[in-house]
Amino acid sequence: MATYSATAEELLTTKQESQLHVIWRRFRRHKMAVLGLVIILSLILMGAFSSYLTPYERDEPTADINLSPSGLHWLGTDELGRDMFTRIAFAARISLTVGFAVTFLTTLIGMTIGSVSGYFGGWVDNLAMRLVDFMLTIPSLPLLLVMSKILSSGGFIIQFPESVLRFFGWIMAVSDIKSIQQVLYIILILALLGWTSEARLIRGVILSLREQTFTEASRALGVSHTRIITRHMIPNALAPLIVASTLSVGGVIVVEAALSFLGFGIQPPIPTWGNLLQNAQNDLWLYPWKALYPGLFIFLTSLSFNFLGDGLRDALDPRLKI
Amino acid sequence: METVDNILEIHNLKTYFFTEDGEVHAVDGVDLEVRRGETLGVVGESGCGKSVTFMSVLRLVGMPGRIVEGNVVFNGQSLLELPESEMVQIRGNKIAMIFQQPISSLNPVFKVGDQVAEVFETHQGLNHEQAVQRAVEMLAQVGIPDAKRRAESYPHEMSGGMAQRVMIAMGLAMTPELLIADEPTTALDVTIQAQILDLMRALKERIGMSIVFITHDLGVVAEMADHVAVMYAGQIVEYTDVGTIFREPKMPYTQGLLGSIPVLGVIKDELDSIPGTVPNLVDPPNACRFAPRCRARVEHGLTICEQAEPQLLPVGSTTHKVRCWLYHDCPSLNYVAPHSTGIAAEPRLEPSATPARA
Repeated sequence: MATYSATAEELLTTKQESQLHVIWRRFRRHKMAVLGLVIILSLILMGAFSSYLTPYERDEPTADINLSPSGLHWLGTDELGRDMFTRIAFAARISLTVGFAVTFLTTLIGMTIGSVSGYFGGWVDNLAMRLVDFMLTIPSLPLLLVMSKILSSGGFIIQFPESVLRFFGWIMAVSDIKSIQQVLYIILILALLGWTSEARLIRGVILSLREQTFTEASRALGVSHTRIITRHMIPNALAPLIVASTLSVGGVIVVEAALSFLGFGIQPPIPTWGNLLQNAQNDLWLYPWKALYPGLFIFLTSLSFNFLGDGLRDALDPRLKI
Repeated sequence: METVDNILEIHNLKTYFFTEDGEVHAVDGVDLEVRRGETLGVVGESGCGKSVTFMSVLRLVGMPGRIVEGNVVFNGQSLLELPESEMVQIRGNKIAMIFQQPISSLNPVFKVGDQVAEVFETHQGLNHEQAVQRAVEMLAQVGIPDAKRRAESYPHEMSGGMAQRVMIAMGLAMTPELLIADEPTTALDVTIQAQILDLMRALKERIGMSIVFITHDLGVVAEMADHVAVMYAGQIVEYTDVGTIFREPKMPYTQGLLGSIPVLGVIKDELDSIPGTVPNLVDPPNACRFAPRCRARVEHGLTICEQAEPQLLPVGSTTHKVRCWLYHDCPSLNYVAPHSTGIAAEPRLEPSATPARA
């Protein structure tokens, strides 16, 4: 005869599936998004361990110039005999740093402006949204070029704190102060131009949240405006915000590559995906791998972030019952 | 005359919404008082301004609405003149409000325990741990079984009745002096409704607070209220104690409302209904708002109803007030009411008004 030894307490405490677990379960169904996540994680690891992956120096010229890909040099060498894979791996540190830092800043700025604008409405909203309209009329690439030229020519100097410089230098494996500053300028410029879409997104979400009963109920219970925005609205807006941020990382990486391809941003010998591409222009037909691989990495990274964003959108949407 | 201890007095409150179609007179000259320790039932159809009146009391009417006139006195303090920073201290602390849709009144992304705790954090400055502990106690008090575990639930995991208990717990956390319950049982089924009403009554006794019970359900009013105010089109049309309203309603609108309730054991083919619909509140005319739907007006052949706005005045006892031309004379229009109580109304008249009866 079977005996039941479960106590009442055990029977009562049904195992609750945690929210993170549900999200992960949903995310897993999205095969491309999982692949994207794996690629992104590999890229981060590749960047983090770039100095241990190959026996070669990043910037040291050797005699083995323009070798095609082989077991020795996985992605070939360039015209100064430097291993392409080593250079691409180091460049990943810069691209990913710029991508994440810019996205962090745009999200922060966009969230603040968007939520204040959506919550208070009226003239505050009008002012903020006209500013957004204004920002969107600016052709961004010429402005980016002009601004980075002004900043990099030393016409206008921002003093970054020593610790910030050292931190970014360490992350990107760049020791030259001027180059670090260059990257920080790029980050600032991209952030100042890029917050508009996030602001609009958050404003829209907050506008609809503002009309919900729980906002009214919180007000009726004496909760202050600041607390309603930070504690009640932003957590509700987090899902679309995470998706938008993820998608934006890929875009930022592409823009940064474009800038450095055009010769703005970090200068050789320090490699970035953009300046590696530029470097390959002269002998593109002779040694196509020099252009192919950096381009492939830009493509893969941006695509992976887009897939990841799509997957997160499905996983974080509570209305989607799968 | 005896002085009554009123916890809340509303004087000539007017809240208008300034829309593209014109000024919507959602609340148009409401006078009300809530006595300490009593329950006031506010009854009326949807859109008659019940909720807006009390949202105005808490100053929670958002754009494009605005309080244009009137005064709200709570415990001798005029609420409409307070700075917002002091108003925040009153909301949830001295006056609490609970709403019709319990589940959507809770923030979907937080555990209910944390939401109740927030009230303690906001008003008592407790740290999160202490606040959650108080929240669990509070949830137990409103009859949530296994409160400690339920505090970990999200709103979508709760039933409507449970969620309304959570809302009540939030409302009563600071033991407010006045609770405004805006149709708290409308979204619940009848058995749960009875439980929630019992709970509110029990808690009212324990805390000794006053309640404003906004509803369109006269059955709930009979069960809960001491006094009743009937609202129509942004105005109070009748005010009296709960016994009188059911025994001898004066205003034709109130009579119509009472006639439309199905009575157990009485067989009718059709329930009585009030003809017509609620009037448009955009720039209302200077007349009785109920006149177009009023059978009594037709029966008595009254024309004054469409020429002058009646006033809320006593009939018989001083606590029974009615806004209706059936009971009040108007000397300036040489009008004598069919059921005259000898009390004269002096309404604001249109310049073109002619004597109602020659």
